Parts: sequence; structure tokens; C-alpha cells
Amino acid sequence: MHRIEQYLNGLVVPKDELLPIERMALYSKGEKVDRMPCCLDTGETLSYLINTPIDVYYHSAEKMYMLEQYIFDNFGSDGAGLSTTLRGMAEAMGSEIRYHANNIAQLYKPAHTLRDVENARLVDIDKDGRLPIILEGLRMVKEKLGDKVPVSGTVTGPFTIAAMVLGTENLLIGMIKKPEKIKALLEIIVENNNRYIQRLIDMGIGIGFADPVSSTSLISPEQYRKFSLPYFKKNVDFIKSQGSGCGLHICGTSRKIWEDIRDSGVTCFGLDNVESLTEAKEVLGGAMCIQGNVPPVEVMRLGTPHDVLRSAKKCIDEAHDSPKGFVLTSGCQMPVNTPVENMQALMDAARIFGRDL
Amino acid sequence: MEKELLFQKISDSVVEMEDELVEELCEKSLEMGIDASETINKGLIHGMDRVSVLYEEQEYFLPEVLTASFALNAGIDILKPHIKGESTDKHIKVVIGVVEGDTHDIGKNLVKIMSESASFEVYDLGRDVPLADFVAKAEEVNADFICMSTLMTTTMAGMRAVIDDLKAKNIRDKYKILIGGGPISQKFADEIGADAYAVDAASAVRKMKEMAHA
Repeated sequence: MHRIEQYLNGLVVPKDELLPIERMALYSKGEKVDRMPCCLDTGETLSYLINTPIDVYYHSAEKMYMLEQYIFDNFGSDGAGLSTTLRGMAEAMGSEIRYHANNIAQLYKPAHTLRDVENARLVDIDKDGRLPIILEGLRMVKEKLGDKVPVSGTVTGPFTIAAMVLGTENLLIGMIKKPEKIKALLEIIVENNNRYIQRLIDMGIGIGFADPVSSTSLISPEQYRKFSLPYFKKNVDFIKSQGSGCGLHICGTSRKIWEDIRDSGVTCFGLDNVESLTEAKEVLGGAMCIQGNVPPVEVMRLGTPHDVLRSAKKCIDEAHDSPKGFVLTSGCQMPVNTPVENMQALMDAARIFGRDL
Repeated sequence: MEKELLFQKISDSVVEMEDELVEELCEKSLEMGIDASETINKGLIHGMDRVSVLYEEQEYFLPEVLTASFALNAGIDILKPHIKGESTDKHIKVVIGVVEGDTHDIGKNLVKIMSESASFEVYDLGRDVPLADFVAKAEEVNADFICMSTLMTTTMAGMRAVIDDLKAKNIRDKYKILIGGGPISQKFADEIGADAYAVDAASAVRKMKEMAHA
């Protein structure tokens, strides 16, 4: 009988032999490991796992840490970490965010309009918005789990932060009508990001970027090169100048900017499930580790564990031999109420199909 | 200036996203005594229709479409008070909104813009729309379509609730339901009994045209 059919029906899933931190250290050097790396793309959407309303999670460093501990203990994911979320930096810059018990937070009122955007402010990392809470959460995660699993902080790409500071439509119209104002805003955002990034580097925490508004689903490659990439690179250069590396995730379509991403200096790229891992391996695989891309809604949230296994196997088949490595994960953050069984199945897919490659 | 030339200039200014020029030319059309609805259709909407084509051809992206629609609306604001009489009833009527609990509205706005450029009559309920409002508005304006969107899995169920409400009121067949948004799929549309799923704004307009003429 096929291993997928046998899963949850008598199949023995091999146990991990290495700690995530050992596995990732060996894997990044190109050495043999017990199984394919696999990260659960979690965060606030999964706070239900520790019986915590999402709005409570957002405001508690302790809860943030507890969720990472839970995920490490129960799944053995190869990464732990916290995100500023797409709105965290914009909130620190004055945007009003609405929080909900059973739903992710949403931008309610942008900090600025195109008329007053020149007043955009530099943030105080220790005071503004939820940034101090997230940093405290990261400190706890690093202290309690840092010797077992790589810990990272996700920050937001400057262009996406600008969308949350102005409102996405105003940003997009502003690029055409008031390009100089937008560029001035992006410079301030770069500095704000660097201030936060410095704290992550000081704590020995890895850095990843999420930059969904830079997707070519929203802007043209030319607009990306003019308004997003130069500012993103300033953050990347800041990180690299201190001897660290960073990853990037862009939701939605991104194929037409992969050459730019390849040359941006990032060491890892996570692609959305609308893009092809096979193509990413060819274009980006020689320059960086690639990650992906089990569909988060159709498969992780709405599918069965067997659907997860099928989808994950396809990802592994396509990308396991990518020159600079591959990490199995979902194509984006897993939605609220993603079943535990499906998260387990994603990890188990790496244990079942990710051996002896 | 000749009327046709003025229409062409207005159309061009919408395509070029020149809102101030659009305003100037629309004022001029009124001075020339041109019928406001003719200027809207042959100038403004004509231009926006070209923008939709450019978007489909990937010459234009979302920023250009939004900026052009900003110019379009600047013109419509000037002309609308001068429209004589009510518009005819032959338009395809669309009630559209982002379902309750969700404030992400770019996709919905794009469908609205492209529907208007296809000369549909659009009733935009906005975002975070109480579910009962979809049916109430559709009944009020005698709509052909109810369009719902959401970006989040947590609010998808609202679409089913609207359809179930129509069924409970025995008016499900009066309307065609079109849904879309990040987590939405054809499979989900089938499950909840929507008439169609559209992957993007262009296909939303195309599908509505097909269904309206079927």
C-alpha cells in the first residue's frame, strides 16, 4: 500500500534524530541530515492552540513565547520566532489597528494621508506600538528555546509598511501622483526598520522579511524596482554589513522580480503557492535556499492530512535537490483554525518523504 | 472644439491619469452645452474602458487603474449634477461589497472600477458589510448580481450565510451570486452554491457579462 494511504493507518513515521538547531546548522553547510527541514508558518493565527484569543496574544510577550514552546514541543518545527506582523511597524508610526478575538488584526486608520505624509515619524523601538512586547517575546523565545531551534524575527518590507502607514490605495496612487513624497516616506521606514533590526541582531536572532504588497499581483516590476527594491536593499545591506543574512517572503505572484530578488543579497526566499518551486529552483536555487509552498487555505486549512501529505510530497519532489537547499513549508502563514492534524502531517511529510535524499 | 474631439481628449486624459485635465475638459463640455451623460459615456467611461484593456494586457497595473479611476471620478463629480432625467433601466445592476468582519477592499474596488467601465450600474456597499445589507440593497435596487469578496478565511462563511438567507426568503433565483478574494476558490463557490467564482477583476466582469446575456 502507498505510504500516503498508510498514514494514520499503521504507517510508522520515523522519529527525528537531530534537534532543529543541529539539523539546520548541518543542512546549511550542505552536510547530510536526518530529514528535510520543515517549518510551520505560524503566528497569531494559531493562538487557539494555547487557548488564547488572538487579541490577547498580540499584546502578551508571555503568550507569544508559549505558542512557540507549544509548537516546538508538539511538532518539532525547524524554526521558532515572532513577527512584527504586517502592521506592527505602521502601528508604531501612528496607524490605528483594530484587534479581534477570533480574527487577525486589521488596519483601521492609516497614520498619514498623502497630504501630511512628510510628518511621518521615526519610532522609539522601546515605546511605540507593540514593538517592545514583540521584542520581549523574542527575548523569551531565544532564552528558552534558543539552544534547540533557530529563532528568527520577521519584519516587514519597507513598501508593505508604507502601505500600512498610508493605506494601500493611497500608496499606489501616491507612487504615480506624488513619487517624491513616497520616496521620502520610504527612507524614514528604512531607518525605523534598521532600528528594530539592530535589536534582533544584538539578540542573535535571525531575520526574515514579509513583503506582500511588493507582489506583482499589485505593482509592476518597474514600480517594484523604483519604489520597493532600493529601500528593501538598504535594510538587507544593513544586515549584511553586520555579518548576518536574511530571508524574504512575498505573497501572490512574484516571478517577474525573481532576478531582482536573486541579486538583492537575501539568503532565502519563500514563494507563494501560486508560483512554481521547479521554476524557483532553476532561477533562484543557485543563489539561495528556497522555501514553500503547500497551499495554506485549500490544503492546510481545508484539506485532510492526506491532502497535506500529497501536496508536501509534490513540493519535496520538485525542490529537494535545489542547489542551496530547500525548506518545506506552506505558501503563506497558516490561516486561523488550521487543524492540528494537518500541521502534524506537514511535519510528518518531511519525516516520511524527506529522508535519504 | 468639436464634440468628438473633446470626448477623445477626455478619454485620453483618463488613460493618462490626469485628473486636473479631466476636470478642466468636463467643465468645458458643460460650457459647450454637451449632454452630461454623453460626455460620461463617450469620454470618461470610454477612457476607463481603455484602462481596463491596458490592465488586462499588463501594460497597466493596479496603481495606474486606481489613479485613472480617481481621474474618472473627478470628472463624474462635475458632470453628475447635470445629467438630465434618470438613466435607463437596461444596465446590468450590481450590488458589491466586502463581507462582514473584513476591511480589505482593493480587490472589491477593482471589480467596481472595471464594472463601471463596462457600463454596469454599481451599488458599492463598501467593506465590513453587515450580511443582511447585501440582500436588502439587491432587493431595493432590483439588482442582477450580488458580488461578495473577502481576503480572509475567517470571514468566508459570511458568503454562505447571504446565499442561505436568499434561499430562506425564496428569492435565491432572482440574483446571480459572484464571489472572489484570496482564499476563495471554485470549489468553495460550488460548496456554498454561488453562481460563479472569479479569480480577478477582469474575469469577474467577463463572467457577469456572460451570465447577463445567457
